[in-house]
Amino acid sequence: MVSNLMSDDPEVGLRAVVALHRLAEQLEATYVQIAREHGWSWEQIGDALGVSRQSIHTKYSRRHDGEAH
Amino acid sequence: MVKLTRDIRAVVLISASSEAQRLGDRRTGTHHLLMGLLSDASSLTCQLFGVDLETVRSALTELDKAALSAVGIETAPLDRPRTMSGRRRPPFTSGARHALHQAVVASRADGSPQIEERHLLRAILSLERPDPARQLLDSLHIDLSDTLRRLEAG
Repeated sequence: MVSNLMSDDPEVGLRAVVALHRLAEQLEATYVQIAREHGWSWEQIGDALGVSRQSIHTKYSRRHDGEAH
Repeated sequence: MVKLTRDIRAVVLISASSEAQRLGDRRTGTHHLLMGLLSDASSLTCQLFGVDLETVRSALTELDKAALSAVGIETAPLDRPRTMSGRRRPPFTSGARHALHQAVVASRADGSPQIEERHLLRAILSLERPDPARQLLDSLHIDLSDTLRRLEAG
């Protein structure tokens, strides 16, 4: 697999992994909020993401009061 | 138990972990501690480095973009991260814990009863690659030995 990649520097490769994780979290936060605005239930959002309703609700339900936090 | 000054407590416990949460990171690392030290524009750290928090956030975004590109992924990280903030604070990485410990050592060497900003800054300045805070400082072309000299002189 590494042969298909352009860098064999672990500092770069591991940073890319972190960057992908960041991107995934940021996209998730953005689209969970949009889904809520579209009236999706926590259960529907959890199902779409492949996680439990409980975990997604716990993660995002309090975020509206903490935007500038 | 380690005593922290009120200022440094705000940096360590609030600003750094908020930065980690904002980015969507699972842990609070040395680069988040560095950003915590820069969160107050009038801080000693901002003065010594001559940069502000936004500049450092942009530098981190650029590093991420370059790393993704280097493994063949052409996508820009979001300019304005939007992540959850209701969650518990991300725990420290072992590197961040080590830096905090080094700040304690630096305060004792000073004979200071409390950990102050300069002690944590000294610990951050002595980090080596591949530490993430060091990567960030290097990408900003900050002269660490010169900064350390000015820190000791001040």
